[in-house]
Amino acid sequence: MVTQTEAFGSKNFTYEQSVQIVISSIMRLVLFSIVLLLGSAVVVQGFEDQNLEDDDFAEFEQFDAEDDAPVDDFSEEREPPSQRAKSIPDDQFEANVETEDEIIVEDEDNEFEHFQDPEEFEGFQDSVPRSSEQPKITISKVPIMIRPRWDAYWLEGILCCLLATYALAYVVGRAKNTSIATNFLKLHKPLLDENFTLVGESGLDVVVVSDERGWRREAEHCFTMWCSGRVCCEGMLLTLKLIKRQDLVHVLLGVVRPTPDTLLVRVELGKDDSDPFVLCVAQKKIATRLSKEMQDLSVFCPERRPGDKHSLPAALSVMSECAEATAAILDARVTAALTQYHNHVQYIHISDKYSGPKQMEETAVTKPPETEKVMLVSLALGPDGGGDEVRPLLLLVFHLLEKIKRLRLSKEALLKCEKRRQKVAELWLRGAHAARQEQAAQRREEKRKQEKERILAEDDPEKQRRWELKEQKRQQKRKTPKMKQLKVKAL
Amino acid sequence: MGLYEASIICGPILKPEKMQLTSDPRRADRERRFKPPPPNSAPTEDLTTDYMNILGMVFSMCGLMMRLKWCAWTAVFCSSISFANSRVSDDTKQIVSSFMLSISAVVMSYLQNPAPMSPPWAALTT
Repeated sequence: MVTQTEAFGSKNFTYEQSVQIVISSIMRLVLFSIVLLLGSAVVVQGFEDQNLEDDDFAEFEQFDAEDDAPVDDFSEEREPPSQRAKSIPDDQFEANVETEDEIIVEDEDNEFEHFQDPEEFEGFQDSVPRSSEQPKITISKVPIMIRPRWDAYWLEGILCCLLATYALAYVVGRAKNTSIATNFLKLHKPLLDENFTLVGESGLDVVVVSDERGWRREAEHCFTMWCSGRVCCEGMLLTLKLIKRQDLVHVLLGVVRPTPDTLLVRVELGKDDSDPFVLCVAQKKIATRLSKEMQDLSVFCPERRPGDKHSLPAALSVMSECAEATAAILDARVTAALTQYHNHVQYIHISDKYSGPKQMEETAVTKPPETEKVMLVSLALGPDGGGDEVRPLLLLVFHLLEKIKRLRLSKEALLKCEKRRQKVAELWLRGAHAARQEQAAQRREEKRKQEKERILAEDDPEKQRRWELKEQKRQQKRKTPKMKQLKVKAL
Repeated sequence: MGLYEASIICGPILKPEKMQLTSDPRRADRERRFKPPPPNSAPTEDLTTDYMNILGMVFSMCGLMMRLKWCAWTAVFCSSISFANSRVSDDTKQIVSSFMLSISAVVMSYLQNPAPMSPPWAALTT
């Protein structure tokens, strides 16, 4: 039996080692967890094997019993202790009975009497020769039954395989995403270097090609790069949002509903880099979503116009605050570029009051959201992270920047835009005022409740009566103006 | 002032209606340090990690308390999904602890009852 369990152990170990060899390239943490898992499963199953073996041997008990005499020897040997245990108390009891009769006389003789008593050491002399004999243990050959037991764990096996597949997909997807990022650097870093003095970051967790600056890894599917030092803007944040190739679940979801890799360009404009206006050109579906979600678009650009009216492809729609700005921004070159690459442009959002998506109703009503001057461009990259189509789009971004910088609205348009902003700010203020009043009323109500509780808790009935009177008076006072109003209405 | 400055900076540099730049647009004096955009302006944050973390926690607790093996296994998967989707800035401790919890749920459930898991449809056929 011992040899069998050893055989099991070694088998398990080779299995585990082979698994380790196969996935040795997997990242440390994943490997660690999986090895731990497999190890635990092996331990658990090994544990289980032993238990089952005991049961299996039950089948062969009969077999053993018939087999040999030594087994009988054991049973004989085991029995005497119980007999002995019974016999000793009996003897002692008898001795005690004797001593009760003649305590002083017999005591010294009886003290060591049991050494001479042959029954006291029953089996003592017998056992010595027996031990030299050594009972013969024969190990009957038991057929090894590994197959059926391991088969029972097929569901666990599948789950472990799934985990291994997931880990493998993680490694492969991560490598693929990283290669997309480096490929992007190879293709477009020179262009960025021509436009910015500062491109990318240097540091520990940075994806680079040759020099030390490059993408910063935010997640396995998300890379960011900050570029700064250019006319017409404060800086540009490139965010490469790739498909979550490292996550098998998302890969499978992507098969059902494909989503592209996207490059999000966020250009922060300086104070004097743009006139106040909001403009958004987006693909139709995205335009609907944006106009609902985005704070500035929903406030300033309620109207959504199809792209044909601005000589753009029909797939795009335009949301604009100011027609003059729209006409100026969407000049011949931009429309040409957009017509050619409208598949890749998800949206271009220029705003001087950008504050992200709308806030929930309950939170932050008291103060208007902080706004910033930005241009957001979201580009859908081609299959496998895009290639040469990104370059003209980046050039388009730079061109737009310069356009925005040079654009000056006419006085009337500017005045209109400023007025709209003032109105919105006023609305915010009024909303904030109402909210604050409401809060104050709530606080007052609470205070009164507390006071009432305090008065009720007191024992003095006189005080309570006085307070009630006061409260009644106050209530009446509150009601009276309303009565007057009613009278006026009635007249 | 803005207009004047703009004409000074952009005027000679850019030829209108052309994408090519005739001169260097780089300005070292306009270099700014990166400051992360305010959290409210981020377009729809990815919450998969958090959801999976919580789900994994719930499943592993179920696995530990009620000895449900499939719960424990689901917890392992949840925590691995949450690991794969995690951001670099996320807390690694949380991920490690969720892994530990889910794996311990599996181990404990098999130590308690080493019988193999039965598929969900086994109950229907028998």
